[in-house]
Amino acid sequence: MENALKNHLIELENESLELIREVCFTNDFDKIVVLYSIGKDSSVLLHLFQKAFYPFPIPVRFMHIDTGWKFKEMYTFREKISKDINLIVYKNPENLNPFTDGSRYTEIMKTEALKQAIEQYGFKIAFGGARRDEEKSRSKERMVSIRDKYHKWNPRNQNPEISPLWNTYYTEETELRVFPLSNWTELDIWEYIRQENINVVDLYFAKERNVVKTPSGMYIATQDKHKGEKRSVRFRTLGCYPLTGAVESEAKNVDDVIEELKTAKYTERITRVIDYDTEGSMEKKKKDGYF
Amino acid sequence: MDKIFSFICCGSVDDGKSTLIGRLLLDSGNVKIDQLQEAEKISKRNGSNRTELSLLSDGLLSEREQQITIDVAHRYFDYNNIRFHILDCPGHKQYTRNMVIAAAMTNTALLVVDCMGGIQEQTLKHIDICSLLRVQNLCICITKCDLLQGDLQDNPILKNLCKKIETLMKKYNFNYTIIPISSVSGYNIDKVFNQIYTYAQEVLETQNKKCILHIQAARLSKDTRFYYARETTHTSPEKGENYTLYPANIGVGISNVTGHGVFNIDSDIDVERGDCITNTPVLVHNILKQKTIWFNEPSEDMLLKHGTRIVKIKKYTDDLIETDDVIIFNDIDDIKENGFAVIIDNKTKRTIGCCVFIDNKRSNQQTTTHKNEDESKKQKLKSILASQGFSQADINKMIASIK
Repeated sequence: MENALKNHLIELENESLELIREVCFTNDFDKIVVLYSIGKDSSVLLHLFQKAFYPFPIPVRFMHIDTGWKFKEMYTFREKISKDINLIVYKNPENLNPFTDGSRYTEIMKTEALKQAIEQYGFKIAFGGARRDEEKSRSKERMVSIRDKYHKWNPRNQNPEISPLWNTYYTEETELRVFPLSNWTELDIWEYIRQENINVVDLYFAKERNVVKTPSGMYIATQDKHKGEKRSVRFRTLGCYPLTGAVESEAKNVDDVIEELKTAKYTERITRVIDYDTEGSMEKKKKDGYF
Repeated sequence: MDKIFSFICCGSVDDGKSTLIGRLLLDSGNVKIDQLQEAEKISKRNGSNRTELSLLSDGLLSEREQQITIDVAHRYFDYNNIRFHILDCPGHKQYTRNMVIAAAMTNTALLVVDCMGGIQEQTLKHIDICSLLRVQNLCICITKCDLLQGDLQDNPILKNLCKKIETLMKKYNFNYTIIPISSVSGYNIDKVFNQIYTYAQEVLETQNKKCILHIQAARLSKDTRFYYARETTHTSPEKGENYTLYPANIGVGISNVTGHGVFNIDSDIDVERGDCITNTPVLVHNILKQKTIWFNEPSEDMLLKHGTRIVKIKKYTDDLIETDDVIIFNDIDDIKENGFAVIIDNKTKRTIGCCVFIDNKRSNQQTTTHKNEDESKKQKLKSILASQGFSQADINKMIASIK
């Protein structure tokens, strides 16, 4: 039984595969990009794309919006993955610093960078690995979500969506963001990773790491600035290391992570500074064009 | 988790949908500390001395400011080995369209009715939509019962409201139940859990053997054609079984299944996107008896999307739609998943309506039969030519010249 996909994971997988194919087969592959963040959800998304088009290779490009401030383990992982997929790496030349530029950093290095890259490559459809259970404004998100020509999200101006009769059209005035993992939870992602044997970055697993405790969370100590202390920690989400908090954990492998999550008292987003800087901040970022 | 069961939560604005959902999430152990803390913080700021449960479910800032739900929110909780997927619908009249789409996707609804306010215009509207979209199970929750005085068993307001609802239900075909609840105190919430769990078991136990595959794409690898399909009834094709290809109306066998909705067939018939392979009777028409719920005004130039087919609408009246090509469907009473379509404005590409197919099986529509026979002959000819070694391009040219 451990090897067979659990029933509800099959249903989730089926829905995702059907959506991926419906969007790709009704549009030009050249206009489509898959946003790849090197995180666990991206790993699952990549796996689903491989399954959706099997036995053919994935017909669309992937893109990583880099800030230059990701964990070094993430860059190593990206290096490995880039052999399997057609990956674009885009970085905003403005090069802001998360320590000194505050919330402008996310705006310029992530939201603005994404908009620049979409325009530069002429993409009209961007797939993302966001899930509805991640955050409140995401729970209202369509699987196929419309953005205006300035890449902005207007929650009041979306298509009524009857899944699986997804409306996969865009126009000169609009573009689409597509979320095949909409109905997955964090636990589903991990159970799927276990059952399909999907590779993820080691940072998701507990290890003695040099960390600094601050009022807003626990961060990886950078050699020049802080003197950290050794603790057994792991990361529930991955992003830019100065903005991504670690959690104390003994979960050393996928099985342990699943057990830990079943009794977790907090959501994963608590470790991301970006989502909690103000109330409704994800909603505001989405309205500005963040994915 | 064994299965996923979705249901909608609907009812008029302010009748307590979001609060009920907040309670369901909380009592099933699916609310985390940080989510609760956030709700507590906002409740305090709004001047409330208890945590507003609706804040666990209302998402957007603009919704929280106005304390109404604009859009369908998707929430999940696990209970007794079933994953429940709640589609929390807006009660506000302006956002009824979002209630329609949710009702299309499920068999079961929780309908909230405020014990003091009773049945509102929007309540009736939501019941009508549930009925049109063939939602079978209706769990009617009379909310805010903590506001009623004395013994609830004997409360005149409650009795009166139950009687009214029972009379109203006689007009419909629902499998319904009425439960007086209080989301704030938790009164009868266990009954609500039991009821939806019972519905879930009933719905999930009736295994659907009907397989309807709407072809998304066909791709050729060396000599093998791979077909990619949407499994409309959530049932997968099986190797060796016999199916029929529509609109051609030719028998085909599945020779191999290589993944979800990915398979090969045992003949070299030309199958393309928009075709349908199925083991159950379907209707193939271009004149459709239907009822459409419009989200926007109908426009001059409209498309109808059903399955993986997109056709142009030539004419429409309240009861009939005529399209420029056939679609492959069922009446909503036969197979719900194959019984509705969306209407898209061809200019703006926005979804402007949801079209429900009713009573097509009984009606006599000869116009489309001819088209079918032609198509069937064409396909047979194609497969004969293919077996003689002609290339696909040559065959298409020959077929075109026959016309």
